[in-house]
Order: sequence, then structure tokens, then C-alpha cells
Amino acid sequence: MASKTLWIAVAVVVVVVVAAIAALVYKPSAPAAPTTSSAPSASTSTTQATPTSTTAASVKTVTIGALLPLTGSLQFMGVSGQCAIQLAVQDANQMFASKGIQFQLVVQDSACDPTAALQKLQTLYSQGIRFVAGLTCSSELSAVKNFAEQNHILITSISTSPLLAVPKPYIFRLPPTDNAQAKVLAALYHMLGIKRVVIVYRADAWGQGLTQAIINETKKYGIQVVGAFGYDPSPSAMPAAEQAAVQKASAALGTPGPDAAFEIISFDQDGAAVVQAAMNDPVLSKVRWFGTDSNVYGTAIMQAGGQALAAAKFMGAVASPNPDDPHYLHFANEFKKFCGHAPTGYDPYYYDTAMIIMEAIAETGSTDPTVINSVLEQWGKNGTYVGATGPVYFDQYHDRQYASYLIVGVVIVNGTPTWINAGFYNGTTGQITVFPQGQALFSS
Amino acid sequence: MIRDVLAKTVALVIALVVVGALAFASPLPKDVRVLLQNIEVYIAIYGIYVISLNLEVGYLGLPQFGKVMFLLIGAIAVGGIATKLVLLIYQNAIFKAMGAYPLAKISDYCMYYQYSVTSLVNQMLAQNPALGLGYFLFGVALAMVLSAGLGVLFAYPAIRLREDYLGILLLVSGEFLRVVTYYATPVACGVNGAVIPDPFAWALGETRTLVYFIATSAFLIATFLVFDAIGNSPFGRALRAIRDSETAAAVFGKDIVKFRIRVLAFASAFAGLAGALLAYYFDYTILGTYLPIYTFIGWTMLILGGLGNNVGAIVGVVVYYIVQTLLDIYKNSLQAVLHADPTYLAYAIFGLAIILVLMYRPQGIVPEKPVKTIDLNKVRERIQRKIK
Amino acid sequence: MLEIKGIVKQFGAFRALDGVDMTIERGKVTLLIGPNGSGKTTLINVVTGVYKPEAGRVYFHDDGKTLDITGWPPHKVFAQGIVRTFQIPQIFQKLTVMENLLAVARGQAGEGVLNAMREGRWAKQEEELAERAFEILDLVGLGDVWDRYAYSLSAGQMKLLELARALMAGAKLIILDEPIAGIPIAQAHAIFQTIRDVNAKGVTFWVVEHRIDIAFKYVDYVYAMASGRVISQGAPDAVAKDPKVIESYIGG
Repeated sequence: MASKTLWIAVAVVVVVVVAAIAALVYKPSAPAAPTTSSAPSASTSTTQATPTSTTAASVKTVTIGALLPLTGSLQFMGVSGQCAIQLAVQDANQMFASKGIQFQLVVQDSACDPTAALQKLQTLYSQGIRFVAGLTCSSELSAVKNFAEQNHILITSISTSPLLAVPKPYIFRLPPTDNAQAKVLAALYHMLGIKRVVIVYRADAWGQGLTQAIINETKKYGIQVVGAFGYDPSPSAMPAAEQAAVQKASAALGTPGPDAAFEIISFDQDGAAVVQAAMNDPVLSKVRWFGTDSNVYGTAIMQAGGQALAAAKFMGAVASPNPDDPHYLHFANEFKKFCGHAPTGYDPYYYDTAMIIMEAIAETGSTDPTVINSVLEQWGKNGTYVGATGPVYFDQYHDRQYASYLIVGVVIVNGTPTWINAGFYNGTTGQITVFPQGQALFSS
Repeated sequence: MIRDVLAKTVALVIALVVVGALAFASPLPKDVRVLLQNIEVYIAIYGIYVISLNLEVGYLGLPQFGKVMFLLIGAIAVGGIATKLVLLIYQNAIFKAMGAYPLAKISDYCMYYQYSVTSLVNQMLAQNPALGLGYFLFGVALAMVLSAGLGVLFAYPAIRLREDYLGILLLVSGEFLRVVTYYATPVACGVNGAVIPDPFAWALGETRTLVYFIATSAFLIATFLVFDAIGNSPFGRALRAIRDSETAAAVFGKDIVKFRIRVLAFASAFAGLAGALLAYYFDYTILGTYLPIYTFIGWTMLILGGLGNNVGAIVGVVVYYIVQTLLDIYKNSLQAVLHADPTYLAYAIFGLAIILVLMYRPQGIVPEKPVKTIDLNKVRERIQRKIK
Repeated sequence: MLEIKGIVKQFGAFRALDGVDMTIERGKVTLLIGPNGSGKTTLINVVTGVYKPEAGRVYFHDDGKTLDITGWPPHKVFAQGIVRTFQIPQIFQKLTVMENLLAVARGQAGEGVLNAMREGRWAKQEEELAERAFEILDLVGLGDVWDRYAYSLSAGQMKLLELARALMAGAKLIILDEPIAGIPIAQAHAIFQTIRDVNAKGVTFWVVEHRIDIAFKYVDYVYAMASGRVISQGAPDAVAKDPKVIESYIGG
């Protein structure tokens, strides 16, 4: 005796499933109404750039996806990155209008949650999207790796975890892995005569990976990492976790000296807490400080202790083209106009995650991810694509290589602590060039 | 009545076969089918999760705010323990190929070699489906046992207290376990996340999804059968009595603590099962992401579907996924009409939908039904005949 | 059957029970009266394990043995054969009337989580319980609403359901907390008649009731309480004439 409601429930489920499938299969014959994007500028409409000279029939519309942490702990990266990608789409539509290709962007929020990332990627896939830019967290990349490979979805990411330095068809990572950054920092320590380093790091995959990489790279120069102390990076643990780690670091370093250094592996907000704890520390306040690509240029960290940063000759390395590179200057300029603030950290990489895909599609005229995959492999060998982050070379794992780094530091300019570009690490030669304005930072 | 439960189970099987056929063997476009396939697997897994939550919340009225803890324990059982067991089994082969034992230096393994080791292991598992199946079942069983044990253990300090204290303790326990295991590399490769060998490595592409669909559906059917059977029994009735009036139930002989322990152990075991399936299906797990939001997603599904009704639990999961997917697909079109950021708009619409359901249909889509043990009408008729 | 000695129960500064002594005789119907706030319900709560007393003991004499049940948890008190009803009905709202009865039956095999899955283990018992439940429902006059949800009952019906549930629990001692409050006179008499009928089968009753005009006709022995103390006891006639009782009712 099955109850009546049971059958009603079954019927409801079946009807809902059928309706959902119908909704999925139904594709409007005309592209959806011009999507006004949420960017502050009204000029982001993706269809707007269509030149009037091209007839509608010859314009091919390609929709690319972006999977970004628009909520959650990395929201600050995702929101800025979304703007960079929207800028790239706008640029591409202007650049490639003559080729009769129009790009549209669909953004999904992954919240830096691997489960959500895979589900959203599957949703994008069902909408016929085969190119997805901007994947941010290494954990997300790990979760979507197999699905992307099996279903031939080309993904570009800004993940830097060494764990994923493995064969990964259809996935390309624009920033170099953290091993490369560690190499730069080790070279910088060596140049400045540092022999003892103590590290405080945010205990996530990125912080732990970079710390381990620094330990490995410094060994080559005979530099000793006397201690590395992690802290829980969640905002709820701030600032107690940072303070505790700084205290341990101070004790591990023991005595200050010109051969000693304090390495802060943090993002901006948590970095501010570390700086605040360290600036009054009797040992750490007397040694050189170093940062990472994720805290230099930071506003919170500067506010928290700009004077202390300048006194400690704080320096960090950001994978970047030469700041005088016209490509980067152009990007930085445009970004500021389009997004309302200067690009920070990963913004140029987000831009390139989208642009490299669109350029490959436009140049080849193919929207087959397999074709684009081999195009990017080819380009990566020759450094064909030159974007906001300079020429892009990929190694055999589709990871960025030969990346050059900008050495960024803090000096007092007219009484105010200011971020300056102090030097440049050439990725191909491994040489560090000191800029005139950075001399003071490199002197002992 | 068991016949009633069986009829519902048969209906569930039919529904699963129909949607399975739609997803795996229908003329729908491939990209739609791929989406359906995956959603069906998620629905099956979350179905188990929410049915188990229903026993705690819908039947016993236990404020289980730490439910995600058991997805986490499932992930630990699979990504932390079963995975290491397989590595141990294959350690000599791995040593031959890579020159190092994977478990000798766990931090290096976690940070650098997980993928290379796992792809090697997967090749070997593909040759040995029986071992793969054993590894799968081991992970599942371990997840269930660990969840049952830890579920009771974590609740124990407050098991005698009022429900709200217990709810808070469970919430805190889940977060505690998450943070501790996330920052402890040896558990499941900590912040790197654990790459999990695929027990069905022999199945490739769509076949793999099909295998998981069948496996997760089978577990869902079994879970439904078990939970609906115990729900429609004197046991289920006692739980509801406790839910409606704890004092009266205690005065009428129900040992509240004992019932809470039984329910926590039983429901947690099945939530752990869901966690294990999720980990295997994703073949990757990172413990830091088991945030309390997954507890409340479970609650949302249950409230939507109908508290105290196992059919409702499944319906809630189905509706949740359909609404979520449709919102993801159509939010950009909605945005054109509403001029708001589509990402946050989707969350807002979901929130609104839940508020509307709570306001206008608080009992959920499929409301609670009286416990069906035996045919009471027959007993009634018999007695009335006797009187005449 | 029940022996209460020197029970003290304190809520903060308020002493709700101030050394109460009482004896409930086996096979009798004992009435407890007293003005509002005199501690009657608190005393029941102490006896049934809902509250723990600060001082004093509760002894239960049965089968020639004496058990000190002071501070026992409610389900253990129930296991000894003591059940109670509530002044404000504590019925199982979202269960049907029938389920309310079945839920309280003693010794159900199907209440174990593993047995629950095996219908064969409890189906027969369930049939017997259902038959008894229908008889009890017919007895108290709820036979026609057996399949209604309990929350849909009227206040009076809820009182009857409380009584039916207590009868269903198969107890040796049934404690009724105001069983006829809010019930029409004719039906109230019927309820006390039922109590006497069941009592005749050997069940001991301890009834708390305000409506002494009705209750005195059916009980064997009366205790009167005021301000947490027993102020009078004896046969109904004697207590009714006790000036302390009259004063406490008029004054309180």
C-alpha cells in the first residue's frame, strides 16, 4: 500500500527533472540580451565593441568562463581578478574585432572551495563553455583536474602550488610556481650577505609550500633557516596567531645582526598583524625584513607599520615584467581606469589567464580546446604570447617558467614610507639589477 | 509498515533508473548529460547525508549543528587512512619506480609527489579491480565506524544537557576537528589536500561516472530503506515523542540519553558514508573546506523537503540542486533584468526562496506523516466488530 | 506504596517544598489539595525525577521490597511502575492520539535501533498494544479521534489524552496532576468514575485536584498542602472541616 503522496512526490521529481533538462537544452536562438557587466565602467558590455563594418552573420561569438573566489577567504583576490578578466575581454573584443570574433564572459563563484569549483565548472561545461580562466586556489585546481582532462576543458589558473607541478593536460598556470619565487628570495638574501633566516608563514598550502621551497633554495647558498613558524590565517585567529608565531620566531633567531633576516610569508591583512607584532620585538626590529609577492604593495601592511618596514629595509619579489615594459605599463594604466584602483599582486596574471586564451582562439580561429591546448604548448616553448606579465613561457607541466621578478621595497619618500621598485631579477640570467632609487635598500 | 517502506524504495529505484537512463543513455547533448550525471551523483551522496540528518533533526529534534564533521571524518577515513593503506600495499612498486617510499617523509610526499605517486597507484589499481573494490569498501566501512564512534564521543560532554547546549557543542566540535586536522599534515596532507587513488581506476571517462552513479545510488537506496524502516517503527515513534516533549517522554520511560546516543551513532555513521563517497568521487580532499556552511546546506535541503519525512529529505536535495544549477546558468540573464551583481543575486534568490518556503509551507514540500507500524484501521475494525 | 520523607526543594531563595512527609497507601485513591503555589506539582516533579530535591527521601514499596528512588532519572522511576500526567498537558503534539498511547507502552521490542528494522520482532506486540490502546481510548471517550493529530484536540480532549496515556503505560501507581481542570461537570464525574474502576483492578492513584467538590466523593484519603508544607490529612470529611484547610483556601 504505497501512499498517495509518495507517488505525488515521485511525479513532482520527474516533472522537475524534465523541466530542468528542458531548461538546459533550450538555447535561445539569439544571444541573450546584451549583458551589462557589473564592472564599475559602463563600457564593459561585451557586445558593444562590435564594429559596425562587420556584418552580423560573420561575427562568431565565443563564450569563455571565469571561475573566481568571489566569496570566501580569497574574495579580495577574486573580485579584483574579475575586473582584470573583464578588462581582458573588452580589450580582446577591440583587438580581434577585425577577425570577426566576439568574446563573451560568464563568471561563476567558486568560493575557493574545491567542491563548489567542480560543480560550477560542470555547470559552465553544460552551457557549452570549453575555456575557463582565473582558477585561483590550488585545491580547486586539484578537484577539477580530472574533469577538465576528461572533458577537454581548457583551464588557465593563477595557482602556484608546487604540488601541481605535474603533467596536467588542458591546464596552464600563468604565474611561476613558488619554487621560482623562493629562488629569487634566496638570491636576494645571498646578495645581501644574509646567513640566518627566520620565517613566519601563513599555514595554508601556499605559505607552507613557499616556506619549504625557501628552505630548499637557501641551502644552495649555505644560508640557514633557523626556524619557520606558521599561523592560522583565518581572520578569526587574527592577531593572536600572528603574535604567537612572531614570538617564536624572535626566540629562534636569538640575537640580531647584519647576517640575520626575518621573512614574512603572508598576504596583506595578516601581514599587517605580523608587522605590528614584530616592530616592537627587541630582536626582529633590528634585522632586515623580507616579504613575498602577496604582501608587497599591500596597503594594510603599510598602514600597520610603514616606518618599521622602511627601517627594516623590507623587500619582496613579485613576478613581473620589467616595470618599464610597455605591455605592463599599458595594462596598469588601463586597469586603473577600468577598475578604479591600481593593479595589485595577481591582477596582471588574471588578465593574462583570459587574454592568452582569447588571443589563441583569435589567432587560430579554432574553438577546439584540444587545438588551443597544443597552440598554448607551442607558444609556451617560444614565448610567443606577450601579455601584461611579459613573455609567457611554459615548461613541460604547463607551468610558467623564466619568470622575471621585480624587487619591491619600502623607503621614506618625503617623510612618508612608500613602495618603490628597488631592483629587477632577470629570470633568464638569474642576475639582480639594482635601480637607482633602490640603492639605499641594498646598502648595509 | 515494511510493505509501505518497500513501495517507497521501489519508487526510488524507478526514479533513479529513469534519471540514470536520461543522463547516461539518452539522445540529449553530451554537455547536458555530463552535467546531469554529476548532479545525480551529488544528489545520491547528499541524499544519504540529509536522510541521516533527518533522523537527528526531523525525528529526534536534536540540533545537529556539527553535521559537516562527519563528511570531514569520511574524508579523513578515505584520504587520510585508506589512501595510506594503498600506498603501503604498493610501496615496493612505488619505491622501484620513484626511488623513495612515499610514507617515509610524509611532508615531501604531500607537497611534491602526491600526483606522481597516485598516478602510478591508479595504473596498478586499474589492473586489479578486486583490490580497488576492497579499498573502496574499506574506506566506506572505516568512515562509518569512525563517524559513529566520534559522533558519540564529541557529543558526550553535553549529551545530558539541554538541546541547545548540545547543538553548540556539536557546532564547535566540527570546527575544532576541521582546524586541527587541516593544519596537521600527517592526517590528510593538511593544507595541500590529499590526492586519493581511484578505487575504480579501471573505469575511464563516462564509465567512471556511471560506476559512481550506480555505487552511490545503491548506497542511497540502502540508506533510505534502513532509515525509513526504523522511522516507521516503535523506535521512530519514540524519537518523535521525545522531540515533541522531552519531559513527558522521560516520565513515560524513554531514556533520552540512550536514544540520543543511538541516533547520533547511527546517523553519523551514514553521514560518514556520504563523506567517504564524496572523497572517492572527487579523488581529492582538503580538510580545511569542510566549513559549517555544509551543515547548514544540509539543513536547508531538509527544511525545503520536509522535516521528519525521508522522501522529503531526498526531494529537498533534488530541489536544492536543480534550483542552484538553474540559478547558476540563468543568473546572467536575470542580471540583465534586475541590474545587480549576478553572483550575489543568486545567493539572494536562494535565501529568499528559503524564507518563502518557511513562511508559506513551514512543513516543507513533503510534510511529515504519522509513523506507520501496523495497519491500525484493521485493528480498529476488529475491535468494533468484537464490541458488536 | 509511596513514602515521602522530609522533602525540601529550593528554587533560588524560594523554598517550594519545606519538609514534606506523605504516604500513598497501596490500592487507595489519595487526593492532594492545596492552593496555587503550595508545592503540589513540585512534589510530583520531585517524586518522578523531573527535579532533584535538596533534602529528604522518596521510598517506593513494592513486591515486599523498599527502593530509595530519590533523585532517580524519570525513565527509571517509570520502570518501577510509576507514571504521571501533567497539569499543563505535555502531549506529543505531532503524533496522532493513537501514537501518543502506543509511544508510552512499556517494554517495546521495537524500540531498539536494530530490532526496529525487523518488523517480525515487534509486529505482534504492536497489534496487542493497539488493541489495548483502542480499549483505553474508548474508555475515556477518545475512540472517535484516535487518528487525529494530538495538536488538533480541544483542551479537554488533551486532558483526557493525558489520562489515557497514563492508563496505557501499565503502571502500579498513577499520579494525576489536575485531571479534571477545565472539564465539564458530567464528564469530570465520569473521569473519577473511571479512576475508581481502574483502581478496583489494583492500581494505586494519587490525584492532585482543585475541584474538591467533585474529587472528595471519589477518594479514600486526603492531604492538604500550603506554602510547601502538609497542613492537614485524613479522611475527606475530616479534612474538609479542618479550619486550617478552610483558612488556607480562603486566605490563599
